[in-house]
Amino acid sequence: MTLHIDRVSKQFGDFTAVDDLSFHVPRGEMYGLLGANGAGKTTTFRMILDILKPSDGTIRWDGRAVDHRLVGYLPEERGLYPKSPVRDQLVFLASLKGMRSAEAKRAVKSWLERLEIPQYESMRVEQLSKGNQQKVQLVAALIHNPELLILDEPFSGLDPVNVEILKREVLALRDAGTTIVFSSHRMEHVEELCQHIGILKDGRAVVSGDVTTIKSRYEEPVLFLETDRIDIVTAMPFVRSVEPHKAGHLVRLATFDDSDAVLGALVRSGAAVKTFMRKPVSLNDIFIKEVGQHVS
Amino acid sequence: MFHNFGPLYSFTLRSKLRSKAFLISTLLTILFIFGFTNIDRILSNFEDTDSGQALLVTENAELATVMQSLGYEDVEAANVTEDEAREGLSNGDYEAVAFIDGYSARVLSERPEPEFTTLLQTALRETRNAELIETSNIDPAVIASLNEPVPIEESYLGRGGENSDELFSSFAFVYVMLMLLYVSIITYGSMISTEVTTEKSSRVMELIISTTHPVTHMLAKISAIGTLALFQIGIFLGFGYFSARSNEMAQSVIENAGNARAVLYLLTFFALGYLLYAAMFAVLGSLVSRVEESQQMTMPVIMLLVAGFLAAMFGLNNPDAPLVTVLSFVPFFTPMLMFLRVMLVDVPVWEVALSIGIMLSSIGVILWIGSKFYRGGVLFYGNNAIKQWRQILQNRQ
Repeated sequence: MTLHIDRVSKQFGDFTAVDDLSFHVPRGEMYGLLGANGAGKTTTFRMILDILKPSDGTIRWDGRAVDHRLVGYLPEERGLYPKSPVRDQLVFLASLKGMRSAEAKRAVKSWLERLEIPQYESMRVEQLSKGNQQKVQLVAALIHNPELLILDEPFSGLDPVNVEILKREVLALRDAGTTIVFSSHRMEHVEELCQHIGILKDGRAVVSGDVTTIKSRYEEPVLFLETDRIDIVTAMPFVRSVEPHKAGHLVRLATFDDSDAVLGALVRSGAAVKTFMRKPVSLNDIFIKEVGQHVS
Repeated sequence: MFHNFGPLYSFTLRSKLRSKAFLISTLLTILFIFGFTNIDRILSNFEDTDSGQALLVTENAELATVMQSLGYEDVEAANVTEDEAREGLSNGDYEAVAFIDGYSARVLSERPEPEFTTLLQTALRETRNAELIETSNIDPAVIASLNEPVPIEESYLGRGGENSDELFSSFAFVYVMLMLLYVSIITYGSMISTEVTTEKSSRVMELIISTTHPVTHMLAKISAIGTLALFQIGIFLGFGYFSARSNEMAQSVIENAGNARAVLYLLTFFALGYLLYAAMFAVLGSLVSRVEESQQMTMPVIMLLVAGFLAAMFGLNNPDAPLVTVLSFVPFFTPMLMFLRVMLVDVPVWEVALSIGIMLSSIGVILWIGSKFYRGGVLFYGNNAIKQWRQILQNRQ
């Protein structure tokens, strides 16, 4: 049971929203789709859901066309009936996915409890705070126990406590075997949750694959130093550049093998070294490098 | 293709039935119907029932008796001067004082007193005529035959009714039903476009459209609002029927025109008209993103409906005009004009069948076009959906 996106393109008139995109997500994996606004994330999701038809390419779940009853979808633009009570519309949305009403009612109860909002069951959605509306929306996406869960910006608009609750539930679902594809602007969430990622730019996947492998590809011979004798470092021949960063300095070397020499020189001169570390590569850095703009 | 019809239908119907707007509009309309059917009794409460005292300044003592026999009770002959009369009038002792001179009169009153003036005129004329007849020596029998009305009995062979009472009933029935058709299509039709636009603007549509075929969604919305309409109109008609039992005119209309044939045609054309317009409202509702815009977008449809209604008002007086006949086959006008024709003139069965056939296929065509635009339309959040129709169609390809 794997989600296969194979050379998929989508054109709107002259505009290409998604261009020759391929990736696959095995069962029980979590895949993070990153990209600036308008990069084609939502269009890709809509094609997986068969709301839009791809201009080219194929999308397969377990070797077949995607059956909407097996998919749960949290749209980026949250959509609920403002005037309708929480339980009623969740039961209704579940029935669209083929659930029986008694079964759906039980599921609503247990999900609201898991997300710590059981008290809102009979309130109208418009009476709820934005964060709680979003939790209700999430229940709508996963109430029918989907095999494939698509979350478009699931963390936007949630406070830190609720982000933790959501992460907890999403990880529990993944461990139970649900395949999850999600998009986010928040790189730290993607880094924390996903084994595989894809970065979209103008509809094309500019980076794609396993997070650890990708990161190692972007590592640079740069040290982060906090010391009182930065002048010693600056004077060394293989140091390419030194620039202030936060409380210390970023030191760019010719190769990373020279870092031992730097540390040795500092120790010999009796300098106080507070921090001596290789500058870690974050997804954010990779993203900015590839997409060319900061988005979070 | 039709799965999810059930949940969509019952969810829409239930939310509508539970809404405060439904309760309020039902109660208000019932109140209005009650007022309308009892308008004569309500108005009579406002009428000035006790005609005040009036004085006649005259030498002819019989005049007061004649006035009383004509129905003006509180009148008497008295001898007052004009000054006394003015004072009495301003004190409110009496409402009118008439100074009679022969067969002419001068009436003083604070306000116009038309009842008194009219009766006084009649009384004076009768007294004068009686005297003229007596002095001219005319046989009273001749006078009686002169006053005898000439009876004319009319029989109409057309569909509307055999006599003027029946014809009036048919007219009134058709008129009221045309009004009902017009008002309910506008009311429930815009309810549908608002429903669709609301789902779109609240973005629930994205969840629905990923699980449901657009035609199923449209038909579920149309059926749910249609059921609501039947329920509400049923309440109104039932209430109207009982409330109008005491109203003679309404009673005769119901007796003369309310037969099985009329009800059958009414239901047929009502249902077809509703379906056709509802489908157009649903499609247009899917093209706009905000409820305020849906009003603008549905304007052309409402114009069509108004045109049909105006044609029907014209057709009410000329049901066999060629224009009415031709227009009754145009699907947008059929529900009003064909209904009007079958009620008022003889229409061959094949013509009725043909118009129904045209309507059914138009409904099919609109649903088909609608399904093409629907998915594209509900995902389109731009400003001018009409200009973007090409793009909306491409959205789905």
